[in-house]
Amino acid sequence: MPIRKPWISFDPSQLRRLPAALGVYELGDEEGNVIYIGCAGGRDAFGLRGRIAHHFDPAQESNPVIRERARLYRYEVNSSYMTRWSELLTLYREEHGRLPEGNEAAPGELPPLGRFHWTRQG
Amino acid sequence: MDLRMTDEQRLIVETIRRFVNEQIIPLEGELDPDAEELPEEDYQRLSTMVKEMGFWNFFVPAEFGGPGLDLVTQCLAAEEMSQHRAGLYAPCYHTFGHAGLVQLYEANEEQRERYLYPLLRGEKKVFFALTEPSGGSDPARAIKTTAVRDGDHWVLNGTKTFISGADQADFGLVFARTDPARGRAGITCFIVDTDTPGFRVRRVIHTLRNVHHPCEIEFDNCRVPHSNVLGQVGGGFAIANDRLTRNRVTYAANSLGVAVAAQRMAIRWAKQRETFGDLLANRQAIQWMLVDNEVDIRTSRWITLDAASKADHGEPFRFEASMAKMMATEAASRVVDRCIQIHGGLGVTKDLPLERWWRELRIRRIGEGPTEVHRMVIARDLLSQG
Repeated sequence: MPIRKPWISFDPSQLRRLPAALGVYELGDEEGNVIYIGCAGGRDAFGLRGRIAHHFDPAQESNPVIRERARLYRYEVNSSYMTRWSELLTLYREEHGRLPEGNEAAPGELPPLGRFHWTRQG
Repeated sequence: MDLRMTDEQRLIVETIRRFVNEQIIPLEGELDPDAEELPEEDYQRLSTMVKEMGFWNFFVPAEFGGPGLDLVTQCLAAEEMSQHRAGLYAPCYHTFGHAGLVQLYEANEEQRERYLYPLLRGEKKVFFALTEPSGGSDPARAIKTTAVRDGDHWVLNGTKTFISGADQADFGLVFARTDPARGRAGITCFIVDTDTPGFRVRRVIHTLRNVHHPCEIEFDNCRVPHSNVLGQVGGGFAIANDRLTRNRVTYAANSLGVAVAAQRMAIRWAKQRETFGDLLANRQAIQWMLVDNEVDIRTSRWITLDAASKADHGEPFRFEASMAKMMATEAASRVVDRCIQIHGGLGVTKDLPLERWWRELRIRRIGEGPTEVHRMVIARDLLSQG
């Protein structure tokens, strides 16, 4: 299932509250459309906190979709981050027929993806 | 009884050891600690190197294009191939080719053309679907998925669980009950294409392992042509069982390799880490852990090679295969656990491969038949003697 959490507006003063943990996250535009699904893995220095901070720092973020449209985020602490990342991307693709635009702009970063037969009713 | 390696075996072992140390481990410094794949360009470069070495499709019989090595040599190689971070479930990141599913060696020529050969060329992926929500260790009783004949087709209905790679596969081997009255003789193996209507991947099952994730799959009036029966109708249990027994031996050797790598790390660490003014290596508590590790490793190795040798000589080896699988997975778990203890806090970080091995070995004590089931097999054979 997708991340079932409310969106959070990006606020640099709240960054320190984010967990420096392994996990997955979604970035949204101002209407709450998912534009990127990401993962904080074992090589990320500050886990989810570092990854999300990176995306909202124009000096660091090079993905044009994220730079221009990311306003919101939501995350899930998860030690099975690779499997969960693959699952979220696969679910999105099943529902929308394509990957989030921010992921399509960075195809080299994708994990192995599969095929599901999933509905929101479960 | 000669326990020494032949010159050919020694050459194979040394070549693979050098490949792992010089090609695989350096790449892991850049990959995520839980990665299961290499970047495509690295995979292509290394698999080309393996082909030039003559080791491509290393575990495949000669009749299907592999080198056709005996099981002892395969075990010696498997022990080397797993001595890196991803070694348990992605040994050398599959750069030694595709063993496929050994059950497919039972396929007829038409099935081989459609499924086995594309699998061995890396063009298709497969899953193996035996376990159901009702259990996996006792398939003769646990399989509830049914297959009912309807003209030239069979109609499958049921659910399978813990099916690794089902969401990424092109087809699967699915075991279903074709005759409820005949127990294990009522189970048949079907080759099911994943684009068949009525086949569904319902969900990913998240586990300790972060790679090669298992799925829950469903068959809802899934129509499979009779030509996709693998082997004989009612012969599925034998197909599953015979080949699984052989697989258990290399599974044991692969688990053992991780223990060897962990022990090597622990010895190196003990000789450089000082506490309270002395090296860990000079502490009896550490020395005894290293000794216990070595006993576990060598015991597992000889039991595993004994099973492989019996298989190579055409002798019954089910008893020995169960003992090897049980011993190697339990021993490797103990070894890696002790090595984490020797490394202290560093041992549980993702900076080292130990924590990944520890998590994945926990699964190994259950996968390919839990330790308790193998104890049952061994006890049954012991008690039936004399």
